[in-house]
Amino acid sequence: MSNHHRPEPESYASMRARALEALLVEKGIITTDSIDAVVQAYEDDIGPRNGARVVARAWVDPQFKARLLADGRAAVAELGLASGQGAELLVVENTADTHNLIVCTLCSCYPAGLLGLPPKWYKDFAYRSRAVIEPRSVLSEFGTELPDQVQVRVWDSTAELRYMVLPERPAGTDGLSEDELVELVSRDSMIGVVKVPSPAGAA
Amino acid sequence: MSNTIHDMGGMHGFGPVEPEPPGPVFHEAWEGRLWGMRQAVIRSGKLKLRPGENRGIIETMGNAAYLQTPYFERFLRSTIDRMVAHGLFTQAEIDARTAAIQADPAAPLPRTQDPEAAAAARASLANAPWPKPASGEPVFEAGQAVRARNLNWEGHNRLPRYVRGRTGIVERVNGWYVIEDDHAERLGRNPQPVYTVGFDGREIWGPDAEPNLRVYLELWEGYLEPAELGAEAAFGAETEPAAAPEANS
Repeated sequence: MSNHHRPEPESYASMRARALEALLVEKGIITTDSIDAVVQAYEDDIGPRNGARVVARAWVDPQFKARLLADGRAAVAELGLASGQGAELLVVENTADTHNLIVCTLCSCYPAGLLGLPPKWYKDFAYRSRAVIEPRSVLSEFGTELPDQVQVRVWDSTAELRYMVLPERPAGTDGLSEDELVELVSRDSMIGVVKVPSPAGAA
Repeated sequence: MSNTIHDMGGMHGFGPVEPEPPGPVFHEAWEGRLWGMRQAVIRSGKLKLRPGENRGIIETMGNAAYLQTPYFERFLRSTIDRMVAHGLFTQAEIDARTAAIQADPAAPLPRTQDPEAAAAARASLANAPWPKPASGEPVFEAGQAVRARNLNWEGHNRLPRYVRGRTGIVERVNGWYVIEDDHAERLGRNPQPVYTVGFDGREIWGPDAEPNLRVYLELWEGYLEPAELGAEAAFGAETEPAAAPEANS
């Protein structure tokens, strides 16, 4: 919460934000518990696990995958999920020949309903500037090396669509249940900066 | 303004990307509170921003200030700016309240409750803007060559510098949306279709582009004009696997 004791002096931004909260609450524009509800939702519910559920379902259910690639928004609604920030959702599939990467060069557009809030690096200037001109170099900083024959497709979120990457299902996962697959899928794999590795011990 | 620092696609000089392992959603408590109050106010209907209004404010803060101000602090500034502009409170009120907190940081904030409103705020997080009804036929179709117009008007827009004047292929015709541009009236009908347009890496970045690269943007119809596909813009058959799958359209 915002009032707890801090070992270091509180920043100006923090005090300014608390002043804003005080004004909005005192004027009755919103109530404190509405703020709490939104914060709690993003801390506990609206995060990359949602996207991981979509990916795992697509891996085990080819018909769902086809619907997901055709109309992302409708398909994720089947799982009770929403893209949350964008009007339309375009799910782009990584294959042996194609690797997809999402970025917002102009600000910080992100599929928040499926992945939660973006990580700091996604909003930082280095990623925003470089993802469109040297994506292979950016990918290598995440430990992802791609051969030249793999086409890199970068999706710059400049309007009201949002993107999510459907990563390749890794080898050695044939025996895993859908719930077990969910655990393998990282946030970064759905942005497209890494692949989903085979589980430890897989052949 | 149009050609301001926020439009950073293709720039050099920002150093390496610094990946971070999954951690707390909000690095500072106030960032979460700010995010929460902004969402709660907007979703209560008490702050109606036109499309792009907040982005336009962030873009006009000054290039040097933009670079020196962290993301959530830019967001804090623009949020207060818009709330003052829309009459939720005055600049004097927010400044006085800030001074009071600086004078007594330990004083607790007021706490109020309205469980029904809180539940509505939570439920509304799944809502997103919906395309507007089509008001005509799209000018372009999938597979057609188009050129991003070379527009350098002042004011907020969503046409990155790095594609202006470049030719690409319409990958997908999306829905109709209100165009977020300070010069919307000069760009034709509104709302207008948004196209996903794919550009070959060499068309944008020249002969030293990374191999086998395509960059896709969503561009409103008014940002595009018909084009003939030149050699640089044609998707490079020599580097592309013969059976490359099409994007999911």
